[in-house]
Parts: sequence; structure tokens; C-alpha cells
Amino acid sequence: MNAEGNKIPLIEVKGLCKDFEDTQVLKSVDTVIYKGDTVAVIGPSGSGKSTFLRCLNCLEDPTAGSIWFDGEDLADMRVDINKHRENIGMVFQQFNLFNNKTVLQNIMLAPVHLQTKKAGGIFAKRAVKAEIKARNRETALSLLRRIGLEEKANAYPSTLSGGQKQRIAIVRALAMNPKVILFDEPTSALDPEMVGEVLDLIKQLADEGMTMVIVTHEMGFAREVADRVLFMDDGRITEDAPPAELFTNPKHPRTAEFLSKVL
Amino acid sequence: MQKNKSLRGFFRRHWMDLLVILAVIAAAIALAMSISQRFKFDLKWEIFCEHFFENNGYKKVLTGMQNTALIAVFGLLIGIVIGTLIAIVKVIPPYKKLVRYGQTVCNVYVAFFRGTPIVVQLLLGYYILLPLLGVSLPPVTSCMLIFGLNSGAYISEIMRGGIQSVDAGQLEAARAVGLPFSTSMLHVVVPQAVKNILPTMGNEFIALIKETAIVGYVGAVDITKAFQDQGDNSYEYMIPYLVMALLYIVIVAVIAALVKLMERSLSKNERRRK
Repeated sequence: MNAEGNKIPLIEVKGLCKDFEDTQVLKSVDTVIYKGDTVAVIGPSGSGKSTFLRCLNCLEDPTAGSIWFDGEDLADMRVDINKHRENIGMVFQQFNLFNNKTVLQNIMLAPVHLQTKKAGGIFAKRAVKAEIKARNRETALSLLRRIGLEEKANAYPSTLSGGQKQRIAIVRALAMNPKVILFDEPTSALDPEMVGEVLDLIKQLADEGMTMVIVTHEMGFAREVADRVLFMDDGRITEDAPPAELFTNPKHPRTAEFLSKVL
Repeated sequence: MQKNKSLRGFFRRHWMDLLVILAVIAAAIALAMSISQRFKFDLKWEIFCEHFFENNGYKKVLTGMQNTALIAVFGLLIGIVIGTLIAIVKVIPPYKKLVRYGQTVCNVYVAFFRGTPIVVQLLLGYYILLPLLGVSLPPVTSCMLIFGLNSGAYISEIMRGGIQSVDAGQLEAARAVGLPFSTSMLHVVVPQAVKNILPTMGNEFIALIKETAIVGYVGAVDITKAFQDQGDNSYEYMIPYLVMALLYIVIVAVIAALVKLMERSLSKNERRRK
């Protein structure tokens, strides 16, 4: 929760548009995600929330507009997107843990692979490779310890509950030490009983100052955790305000209508 | 007592069926006896045994089995490598020109190998292409190569189906942590695809074993060729051919059982009842 004035922009979105075939899903979205902020994105289904989030790490290539991150425009096809994705974690609605890997391998795969690549790829010395593996194993285990799932390190995802899967997915994103994590409806596919454990973890990350963009239907959660709430409707951000303001005193009639339905 | 009683009940209920079965068996035995007399089965069996055991026919069959196995196994391995590569090229989103050219090449390749009989490919490869390239390979090695190229075309289609059956979220999750397309494919998507298509791959291997029966065309000795030669030497074809068919059935049955075992061990990362 930064004080006004000393906010550092992390992602700057300018005129972002996205078309699928002939339907326009995003119609010129402008916003800035500041460092350390927790931004909740709410809105009716079909309003483009998920598409907006997926454009931020170019899982969907924007049709027009620019996304400035780390001094480069991610919407530019010449930019090495993989390099930037290392710094932008993502958590999916359907968890998407790698089914063919154990929990530990899920967490270690990307950091080990990318660090080994930087150390020379297949030409890296065996000792270096072993050192990278050992170091990431330690990190992964300590992350698992943090969420209390250390004993599941060698289990396969299919043996876990939804809540466990999602917490491991979050930890998998954390293992890359990202600058920002994007959450695409992280609790929508969970049993009501398991929503709490996932939201608690996200709350902890918010308290630690992790920058997060969360697309969510959990209004109570958005209100409690977010520093800012974006209300999206029909491919545009129609309202952008702190939660206290947006939930109690919405300026836009569409926001008021939506809130009256869901609250 | 109880058992006896139930047995009696069984007879009482099914005496008609048993009668029919007995009649069929009797008829079959009578037929077999008349056929075996007419074709001098005993004599032919003696000729077969003489050529098979005393004139070293079995050694040739063993060589044949070895060659059949070599051609099928290496054919499958080469096929898997080629097929996986083609399948991956075919599922790359075609943003770049190079990818589109690659996809065209792959399409032509698959169209050729699926559009011509394997015998034609074998003849073209062994008698035309290899000499033109100035390479001289022994028949068995050439067969491995050509069967590999051929099964690559079929496996590519199987593999493509397997890759597309893996949930798109798996690739997205891998890309989202910064892994490049190739790594995501090789570490996450393809292993899951392979698991999905393993039963089909087993069938492909079995089909490959049976297809190798034509390698005699280019002078390689496989199971078929070995038994054919024995028939040629002894002027008696019936028993060798029957034994040959039986041998193929046994081999195929064993491999089908192995595939089943492998499938079970591969599904260890799935929840299942013990």
C-alpha cells in the first residue's frame, strides 16, 4: 500500500485492443499497474477480464496497443517474450499443474531449466548443473514447507485436492521470483471449502508487498485485499478506484448495477 | 454334496448344448482325419522336421526372427523420432514463414508415405534411391531406414492426435513461466501425449512386425523369407506356412501383453485403485 506520489509503474497498458475473429473483446484498455499494488479486476462475464489478464503476459497476442514492462513493449512481436514471462507469474483457474511431473518437479522445472540455460545449456559443467538443481530443490522445499505441503513433494497432481493444487500452482509461480503475479479467477474452480486456504495464501503475498493482478468473483476478498479495483464492462475499464470507494460509492451506473446484483 | 448336486443340475439343464458340442468336436476330428489322409499330413510333417531340424532350417528361421525384430524395432524408433518432429512442426502456430514452409514439407512427406504401398517404397528406396545417392547398405539396414521413414508418416498423425488431446492449459502454464515452445513441448506436452497414444503405438509396432513380411523383395531374410526358403528347398509348403502363421500369432500375442504391462506402469501418476 504505497503512499500517493512515490508509486513506481510496473506495467503500463496503453490502448490495448484484442479481437477474436470478428468480435472485439478489448476495446482500448488503458491502465497502470504500480509496484507493490494488489489490483482486483471485477466485472460481468464476457466483459474481457480474463482476456485483459492473458494479454498482460501475451498468452493472447494483443491486436493493437502497447504493454510496457521492464522498458520494453510486450505487444511488439520482436520482443523476447519468454525473458519477460520469467518475471510475470501466472496462476490459472484450472490450476494447470503439469500432470506428468511430481509436485517438486512442477516447481523446479522452469527455474532449473532457465538457470541451466543461462549457465550454458547442455554445455554447462555437471557440477554447475547439480548445484542449480540442489539450490532450486531447497527453494522448492522451503516454499512447500511454507504452505504446509512438504510431504506432498513427490506426489503427482492427480492425487491432490483442488485447494492443494492451486496453492502449489501459486508456489510454482513464486519459485521464479516474479515481479508480478497474474491470477485468472484462482478460486472459481474450487470447492467452497477450499477457497479459504487459497485466498489466505494470496493475502499473505499481498501483505509481503508482491505486485498482483487478480481477476476474481470474490467481491469480499477484492474488497479486503485489493489496493485498487478495476471494474470492466464490454471490453473497457469503466471504473478504477480503491475498493472502499468503488464498493460503497460507485460512480458509474453500470458498476452500481453489477454490484447490486452480486453483493 | 452341494457341488455334486449342482453338477447334476448343470447336466440336466445343458444336456442339449453338451450334445451339440460333442457332435461338433466329433465332426471336426473326422474332417481333420480325412484332410490329413488326403494331404498325407504325416509324410509332410516328416519332411518338415527333416528340413527344419536336420538341414539347419531352424537356424535360418532364428536369423529371420532376429531380422524381423531388428527391422520392426529400429523402424519404430526411427518412426517415433521422425513422427514426433513432424507432429510438433504441424502444431506450431504458423506465425513465421519458415514454419509454414516446414509444414508444407511435412505434408508432402506424409502424403507420399501414406499414399504409396510400402513395397513400392522399399523397391524405390533400395534399388533406385540408395544407388543414386551412392550409398550401399546391407538389405536389413536399408529396410530399417525405409520402414522408419514409412512409420514416421503414420506415427506423426497418431502423435498429432495425442498432442492435441493434451489439455491446452498444460502448454499455457509452461509458456507462462517463461519456458520456450520447444522445451514446453518436450518436457510437458509430448510426455503426456505419448502416454495417451501408447496403446495405438503398440498397434503400430504390431502392424510394423507384420509389414516386415515383404522385406524378402530386397533380399533380406525375415521370418516369412526363411519359411519360404524352406518350402522351396523341400517342395512342401503347407507345414512351413502353417508354422509361420502360428509363429507370427505367438509373437504378436506376446507383444500385445508387453504393451499392456507398459501402459499400466506409465499410468502410475494417475489415481487408481490398488
